[in-house]
Amino acid sequence: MKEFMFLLWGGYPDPSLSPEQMQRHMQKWTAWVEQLTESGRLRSGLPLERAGKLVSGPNKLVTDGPFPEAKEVVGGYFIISAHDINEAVEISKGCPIFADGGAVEVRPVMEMSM
Amino acid sequence: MRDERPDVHSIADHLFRRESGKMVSALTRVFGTHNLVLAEDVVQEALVQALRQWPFAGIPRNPAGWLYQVAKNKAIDIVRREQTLSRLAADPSDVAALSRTAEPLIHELFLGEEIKDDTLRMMFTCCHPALPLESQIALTLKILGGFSSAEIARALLTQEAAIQKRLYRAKQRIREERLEFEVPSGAELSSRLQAVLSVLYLMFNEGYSASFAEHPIRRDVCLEAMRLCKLLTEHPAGSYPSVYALMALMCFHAARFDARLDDSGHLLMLKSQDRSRWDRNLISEGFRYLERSASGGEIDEIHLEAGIAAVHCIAESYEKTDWTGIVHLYDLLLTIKPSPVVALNRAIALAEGQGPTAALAALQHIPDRDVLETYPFYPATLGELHLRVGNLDDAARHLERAIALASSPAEKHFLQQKLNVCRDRRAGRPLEHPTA
Repeated sequence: MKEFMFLLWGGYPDPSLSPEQMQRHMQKWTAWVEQLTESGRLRSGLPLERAGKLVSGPNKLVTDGPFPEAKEVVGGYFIISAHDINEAVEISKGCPIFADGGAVEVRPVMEMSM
Repeated sequence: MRDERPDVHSIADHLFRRESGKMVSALTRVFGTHNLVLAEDVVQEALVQALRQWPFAGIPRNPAGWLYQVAKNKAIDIVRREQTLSRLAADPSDVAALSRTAEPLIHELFLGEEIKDDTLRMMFTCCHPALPLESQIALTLKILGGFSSAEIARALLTQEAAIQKRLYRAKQRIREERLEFEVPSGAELSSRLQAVLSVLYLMFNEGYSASFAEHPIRRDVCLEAMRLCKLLTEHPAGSYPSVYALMALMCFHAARFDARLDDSGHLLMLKSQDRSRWDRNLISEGFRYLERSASGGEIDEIHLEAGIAAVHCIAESYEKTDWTGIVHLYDLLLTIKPSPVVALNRAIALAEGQGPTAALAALQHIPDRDVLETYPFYPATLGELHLRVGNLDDAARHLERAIALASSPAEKHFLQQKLNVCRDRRAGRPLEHPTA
């Protein structure tokens, strides 16, 4: 089994959702993550705050990040295990983010040899 | 995150919606009614935070408690920031007091009994006579019920934009009038309580009056009205006979929820309902409340409507209903609330107990019956009664009028079937038993 990172792009919940809609939304996510946990695929995952800093260039310029031009922001990540990238992609399709216009970037974690 | 499989906790249905009402109420006590919108924002942010974190951390063991803590922390942040403090205060002299009192108040927010008190305070605020009645209903549904404008619009069969405008104006009014966040007492309580009961009654009727198959949200509105009324009954301010009577009425109607729809989702008349599907527990609860409402010397229209509903609920079948008892209750109701619609309902009951001829005679004697000309049930009833008596021409005429006035396809279908029976009989054709 190999490891893959899911970078969760965009797909912010509409802040004007009713409490009922928010609960249903939340339950879709928790259900998917529980599924990943129960199948033993989930290694880790954390949400990220939307705002942060960007430090760039040889002068280490600090600006408010993420990139102001970027419409989308990475809101969190998961690390899952799968046999290969195709399986990882199939697993990612269960994520509720797509209904909200978001995307999942699937990246293999480099296997490091001793 | 998690290395081993954690306990998976679940969350009750509608928890976010229920808790949001409680939280907004409690926060309004600290921030004041002029900061109602701020209280709503804090609660919304707490829900969003849950939405963002729970998928990663799992649903907490005590989801409501988690939400309360987050809301408290946000509220504390707000009062600690000096700029916001001066904006929060109703006037400049409040600022010093607010900075002293707010934080300790916030720490004690959301404690069991206090939440109930705060919810009640909010009920009286939303149902304040300074606000238009329709706004009171919308506001109660929004703030206490946790429904969104879109959900309220669907429930009340109106446009979302109209609801938003109503809510905006109502909140503005609350700010401008500096409405107090209190449960009224003394002489004021009785009239203010009546206002709350009217709103709950109307809310329940809105939810009850249409097919749930199309609008499941409407059942939720009924249940919300019942939840709020129940809260009232559990509080000293609400231990009045009329509160128990309304609770009884709602229990009796709600007991029939599951039997009211046929397989195609159409409303079934009382006559055709499968009574085994009536909720016996709710009916018993209704009777308990009805008993409690029978104290004090006064009877009002809610008592009588509850009484009528009670008589239906204990009847084994439509045919075995105590129609005489029901007519008697309608007689009493007419002395308090003389209305053509009530008189019409009385005539329908009279037809069942004493036959169509007596009912037709009663209908002739309704004062102001021209008001009923555009009320579909009036020609429908006339048509039905004439059909039973055998006046086929009159029956057909009234049924045609009823069909023209009918507001839903289900009603039209039902009336058309009756009209067909009528025409078949006139033509001397063997008649098919009407299905409803």
